[in-house]
Amino acid sequence: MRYKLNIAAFAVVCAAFALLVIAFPRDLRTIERENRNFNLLEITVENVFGGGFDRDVEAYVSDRVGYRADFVTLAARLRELSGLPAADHAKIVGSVLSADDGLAEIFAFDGAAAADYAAALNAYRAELGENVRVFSLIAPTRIEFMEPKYSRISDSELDAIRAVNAGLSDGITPVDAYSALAEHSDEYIYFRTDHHWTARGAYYAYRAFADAAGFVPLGLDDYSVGRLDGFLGYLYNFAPSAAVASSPDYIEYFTCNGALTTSPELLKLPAAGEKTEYRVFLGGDYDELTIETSVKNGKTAVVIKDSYANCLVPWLAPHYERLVLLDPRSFEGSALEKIREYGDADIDLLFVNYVFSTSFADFAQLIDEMR
Amino acid sequence: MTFSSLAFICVFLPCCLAVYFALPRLRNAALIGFSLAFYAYGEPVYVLLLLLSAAANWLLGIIIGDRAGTPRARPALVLAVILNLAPLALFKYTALSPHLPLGISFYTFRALSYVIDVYRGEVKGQRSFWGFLLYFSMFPQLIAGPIVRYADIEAQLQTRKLTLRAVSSGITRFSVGLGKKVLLANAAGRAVTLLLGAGVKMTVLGNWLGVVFFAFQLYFDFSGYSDMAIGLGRILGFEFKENFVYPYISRSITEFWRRWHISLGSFFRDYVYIPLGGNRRHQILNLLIVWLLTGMWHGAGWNFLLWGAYYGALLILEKFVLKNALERLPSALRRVYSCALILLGWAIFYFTDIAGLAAFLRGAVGIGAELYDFRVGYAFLSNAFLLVILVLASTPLPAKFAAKIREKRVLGAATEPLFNAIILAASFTAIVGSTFNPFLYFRF
Repeated sequence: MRYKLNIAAFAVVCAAFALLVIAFPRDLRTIERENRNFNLLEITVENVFGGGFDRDVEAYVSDRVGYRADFVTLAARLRELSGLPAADHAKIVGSVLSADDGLAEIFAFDGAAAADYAAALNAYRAELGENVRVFSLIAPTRIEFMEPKYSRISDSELDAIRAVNAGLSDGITPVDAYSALAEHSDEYIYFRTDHHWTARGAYYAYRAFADAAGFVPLGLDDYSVGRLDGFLGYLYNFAPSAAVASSPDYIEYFTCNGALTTSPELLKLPAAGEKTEYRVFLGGDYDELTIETSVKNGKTAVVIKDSYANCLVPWLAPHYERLVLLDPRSFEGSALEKIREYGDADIDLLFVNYVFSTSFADFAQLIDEMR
Repeated sequence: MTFSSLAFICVFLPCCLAVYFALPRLRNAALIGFSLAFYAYGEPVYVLLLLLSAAANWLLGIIIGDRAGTPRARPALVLAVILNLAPLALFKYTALSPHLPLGISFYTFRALSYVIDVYRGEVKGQRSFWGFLLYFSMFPQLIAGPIVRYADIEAQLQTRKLTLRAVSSGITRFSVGLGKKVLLANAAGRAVTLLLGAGVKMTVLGNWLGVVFFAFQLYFDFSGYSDMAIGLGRILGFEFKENFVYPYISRSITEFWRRWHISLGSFFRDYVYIPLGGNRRHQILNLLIVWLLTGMWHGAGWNFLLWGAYYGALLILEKFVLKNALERLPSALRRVYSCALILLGWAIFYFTDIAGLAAFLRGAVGIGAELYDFRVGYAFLSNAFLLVILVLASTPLPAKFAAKIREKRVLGAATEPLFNAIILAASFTAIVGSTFNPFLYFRF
């Protein structure tokens, strides 16, 4: 009797699992949350024999589980049974720290990558004439300025920036954005749900650049401030929480009070009903973007950049006639050829990246390959 | 296909068991068919290698068997050993293929044990190819062991008695194994990634806690898999030997290796150590050879060789130097001694590059690392209950507790099915949950 009951129960449970996969409709909520389409299963010779067929089947079967979204939620609850919550509901999810106060990426320094990054910049310097000034601006991130308890789990971004700067040749001017941001670390210079800085944060970095490049920066009072509410950034998805969702970020954007026009425009405000995103600045990342301004001073800035620069470039617009943005992750031409198109005009070449990019093993290589 | 996949639990297992029990006359054929499908699903190309290997070993088994006890058996045995070890060596230690054919380390050793046993006259060569293929490819033990000896299941290949009792206990064993893998090992694995993952800033306590979790991850992963294999075997009418017997309660390293991955240890004992001369001549050399081979069996990295050498050295030390001293120590101290050395062993096992191991060891003793940070506190706190469960579950206490419940008839006959159903449902939920991935879009 005992044995029969156990066997019967097992048969019922197994049948239930099989039925969940076969007999119920796929759960639409699943793909909405994960921002993808249903995994399909194509049975072709190439799929089956090409390797990884088992993974495809598993993804397919998993999508076929009825009420999958509820199982996913339940699984998350089960995991929480492992222990107790920390103060501030602080968590570490992958390489992201999440607390009631907001989220931040945890930085891991890679000395070899940093050396490669400096070397890649030096290679540009070596091939450019004296009409081109070269600057390196490395932006620190939010975690660096969090309370020590949290910032200590991250490698020092200051040390990382110093390591890159130490490797730069004499002809490259490092821009001390770090000190400028550190002085204003109690202001809203970083988003709490996104890995980027805010326009305000970028403004302080811009002032540091003005110092290095020898021009007078505009003041914040030369600008009008606009505000977009309800911004939940990229990092939010790592640890969605009611506490953070109830006080989302807002995006401040600044428009110059003076007569400055640019083509294309520096800001792309969301249309009614569209989500508020960091793409507000320049409309996002492009492999290559040339911005012409109404400032007819003949000066050109070429910016080799990651998305941190999208927030900074609008501040530079009043000082350059032309801004050329090149993104190493997608640009396929030659940056030096681009620069040489302008002959011996005065050109500022800026490398604007966040400190993480200088510790990604492949980022320096991308910069080097597009030279 | 792993036992902890949805494809196995929701599709393969129900189909296989339904056919197996519905067609009593075709059981062996069904089992072979399902086993080959099971393997081909994960290895659509190298399933041919598996079949080729089966055919070669079957033929050589007959040839060796017919000549057993005469010098003429020797060349066939040498050929069999070469034919078995060559693919393993090529796949494992050269860049021949980007991935190792599933289970090749296990089925190679199964084949070796078979041909050697036939050579020694301990078993007769299996004359039926299907009989041999059944032994060789049976899915419960196919890709992750245990390394079942032919002699142990020879009789069961022909006739086996399916009893309700055995099927029922197999079900419970499988459920427990699945729970160990999905609920315990995977959870411990998340803590390992949190503490020892790439880019983590090391701290003294973080490194040690990380290795503690890694030790549990390995044990529950591997022993869970063995439990599932043994359980599935029982459901199908086979009785496999135990592969893990509470290794972490050992009071010496020697004892640890009698409790950890027993089928591998006894393989090396019976087919390498004793033939080399065992403890009768140059015992130290024999031990070193066995342990370097054990290390190599686990992988191609230098760290596995180092790991094997580490255990070789420890076992030699215990045998010749520490034996008497250890025996005089109280049990508690001996357990601490064993656990500390086992943890150090797992650190060597974990870091596949020597630079990573060196960084870990520096961090573990506080060179250039702080004592602790928020990460350790968080890892500990958020896994505090898990840690207690992991510790308890690696001792015989849960089994004793279960026996007591059975004896006292708490909840009558419903206890066991209820317990299994809860574990199975929780495991299913955790597996589905693990396929959730909210970060599919490009990170910038």
